[in-house]
This record gives sequence, C-alpha cells and structure tokens, in this order.
Amino acid sequence: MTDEKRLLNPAALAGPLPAVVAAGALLLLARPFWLAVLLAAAVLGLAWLGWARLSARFAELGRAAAARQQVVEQSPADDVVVSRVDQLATALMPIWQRQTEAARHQTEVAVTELSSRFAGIAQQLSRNIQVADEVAARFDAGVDTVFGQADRRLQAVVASLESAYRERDGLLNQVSDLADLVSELDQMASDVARIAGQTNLLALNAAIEAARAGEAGRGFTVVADEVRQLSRLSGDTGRRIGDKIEHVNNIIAATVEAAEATRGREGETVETARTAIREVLADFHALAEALDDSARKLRQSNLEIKSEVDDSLIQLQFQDRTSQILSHVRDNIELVVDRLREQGIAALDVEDALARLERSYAMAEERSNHQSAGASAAPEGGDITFF
Amino acid sequence: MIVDDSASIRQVVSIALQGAGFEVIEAADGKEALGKLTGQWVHLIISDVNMPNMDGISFLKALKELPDYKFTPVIMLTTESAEDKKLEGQAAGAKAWMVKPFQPPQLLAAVNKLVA
Repeated sequence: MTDEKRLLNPAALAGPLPAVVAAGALLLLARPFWLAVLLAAAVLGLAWLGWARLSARFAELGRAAAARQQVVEQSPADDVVVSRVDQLATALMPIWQRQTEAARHQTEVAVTELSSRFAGIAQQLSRNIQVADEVAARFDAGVDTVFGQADRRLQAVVASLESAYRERDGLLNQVSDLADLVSELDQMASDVARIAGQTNLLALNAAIEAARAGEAGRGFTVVADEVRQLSRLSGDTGRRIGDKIEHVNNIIAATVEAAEATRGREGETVETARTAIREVLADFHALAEALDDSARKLRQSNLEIKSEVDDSLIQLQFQDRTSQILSHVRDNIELVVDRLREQGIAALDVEDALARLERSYAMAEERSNHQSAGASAAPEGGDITFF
Repeated sequence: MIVDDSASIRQVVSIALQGAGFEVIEAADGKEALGKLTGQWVHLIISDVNMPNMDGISFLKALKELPDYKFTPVIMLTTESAEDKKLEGQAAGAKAWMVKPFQPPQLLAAVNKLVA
C-alpha cells in the first residue's frame, strides 16, 4: 500500500521533467528552427499522454488500497455479527426445525389412530343398520303370518261354536215338532175317552132295553155288560195315556223353556267371543306396530350417528393440510440453516429462499398467507372436476 | 390403489372403499406405487399430487407409459385447487381432479362412475 503511495509521488514530480528537458534541448540545438519546434511539441505531447495514463492507473490502485483499508478497519464489529449468526444457525434454528417436525409427526400419528377408530365405528354402525333391516323384514313377514293364522284359527273356533248352536237349535226344532205330535196324541186320547164314555152310555141304554125285553133280552144284557166293562177299560187306558201325554208335555215344555232361556244368552256369548277375539288381535297388532316403530327409530338413530362419524372423518383430514404446511416450513428452515453455515449471513440470498418456499406450496391458504398476514381458513374442499 | 404420503388420508380412503366392497392397495409415493403395480393389476388409481420422491404428475406420466395401465382411470386427490395444476393433471391423463378435504360418499360415487 505504502509502496504504491511512494510510486505515486515521485511520478507526479519526475514524470514531465525529462520531457521538458528534452524539448528545451531540441529548441536550442536543432536546425531549422521550425523543425525544432515541431519535434519539441511532439515530445511534450507524448510525455503528457503517458503521464496521464500512468497517474490514472496509480489513482485506481490507490482507491482500491483505501477501500481495503476501510474494510480492515471495520472487521471487529463484523466478527460479532458473524458469531451471532453462526449461533443462530447451529444452535437455535435446528431446534425450531426439530420442534416443528415433532409437532407435525405427533399430530399425524394421533390423527391416523383417530381416523382408524372412527372408521371402525362407522363400519360397525353400517353392520348394525343392515342387521336391523334384516330383523325388521323377518319380523314383518312373521307378524303377517302369525296374525293371519291366529285370525283364521279363532274364526274357526267361533264358527264351530256357532255350528254347535245351530245343531242344538235344530234339535230344539225337532222337540217343538214333537210337541205338536204330542198335542195330536192328546186330542186322540180325548177322543178315546169320549168314545169310551159314549160307548158306556150306549151299553147302559142297551142294558135298559134288554131288561125291558125280559127273558128274550137276557143274552143281550150279558153282552151289554161286557161292552160296559170294555168301555170302562178304554176309559181307564185313555186316562192313563192322557196322564203320560201330560207328563211328556211337561218335559217338553220345561226343555223348551230352558232352551229359550239360554238362547237369548247364546247370541250374547257368540258376540262376546267375537269381541274378545277382535280385542286380542288388536292388542297383538298394536304391540307389533310399537315394536316396528322402535326398530325404525333405532335404525334412524344409527343412521344419524353414522352420518356424524362420517363428518368427523372429513374434519380429521385437516391434519393432512397442517402436516404439509409444517413440512414446508421445516424444509425452508433447513435450507436457510445449511446456507448460513456454508456461506455466512453476508452471502445469504433471502429472495431465493423466499422463492423456494413459495414454490413448495400446495394450497391456496399457504399462498395467501405468503402475501399477507391475515389468517385464512381452510377451504371447504370436496369439489370434483371430471375430464 | 391409493397413493398419498399422508397415512391418515390413506387410512380414510381405504376404509371408505373397503366398506363398499373394494380391495385397496396403499403406497406412500409415486415410486412405491410403480413398484407395487408391476406385481399386480388394479382397476383404478387415486393419487395425491405433492409427494416426496416422485410427485403425482410425474407418476401419472410414468404410469401412462406402461401398456397395462394406459387406459386405467386415475383420480387426483389433492389440496391443490389452482387451475394451472388442474390443467397439468388433465394433460397428463387424469380422469378426475378432487380437492381435499373430501366426502367419502362423493369419492365412492366418482370411483363407481369411473370403474363401471
């Protein structure tokens, strides 16, 4: 540095001197005069050009020397900065990197586990719904069959009850017919009694006539007496028949009376049986419907829960987004740390690091956060484009 | 087949498709996917775009070079919604572009539509 300064100063003083001397000598010694003047001018001109170039060169060297001197004079402060940056790169930023990665990884593990469980629940619910549907179908079919069968059987019982009643009614009608028959017999018995009575009278008259006829009528009197005996016998027999008939009549009357008494109740009994059957079947039907309703509500509940679980699974996809954002940040930190270590803070190309970070983005919200500080929410997603 | 570097996404897709009766093979990136595809055949592929080792678009291009998979439908399932990326996917041969987060019934509908 000082050598150059030394060079500069003598050149400034000594540079033009020889040329001036030479020019002067030429003017004094050279003939003709005009030639001497010309030569002197040429020598001075050349000397001036050469000197100008040389001094410019020396000025340049001097400036460079001065600049380096300036840098050397600043280096104590720079050292502090460099060591701080070094600390940042080797001690602090790697920690940022590790913690970011730890957060990303832990979230991924936890959310993957959660997703798996939710998905398991969703599958179980699907199976439940399927089973419930199968049971409901079998139940409905079963209810219809049982209901139909029960109805038919009970109707058959009522029918046989009614037929028994009709048979009994038939019998009663026959009994009533008997009553008619018996009253005819009664009439005949009366006739017999009347005939007996008249026969007796006739025999009595004949006996009287026979007595009047005297001896000639004696044989006739015997006959008349026999006839009177016969008619008495007929009368007795007739009366006995009459008694029997009265007895039978009493039985018939009692039977009919008893039958009539229950006939009124029978209608009631059949009606009561019918009503009881209808009520039992109605209760059974109501029960079946209540069960069906419960099953339907249960199925609906299952469907709603499954829908909630499906929604949760969608929400859990947020972890994929946060994982991507964190890994982009982590990678950029790593990049900057490596560059700081290799090249130092002075050579760090922040523009390039920013550009690389931006290129790594995969989501709209990353890009919008890169531009401004406003926090943007994750999009709804789910839209699909077919090509 | 589902290709995605996120384990939780692979999980959700697998379960959604298995529930509908499909068999699902998983891969974490394009390279792994190509490796698994040489041994067996699949009817349809669902792939993420941003993955390490080999990204979705490169995987798609490599896939279309394979004779077995030239006509296999591919659905891109990704957080990317930028139009230029979508066009890239279309140009590379994807049949559909679905933006995450996705609804399992929607994905199933798309799969059924393309497999039929």
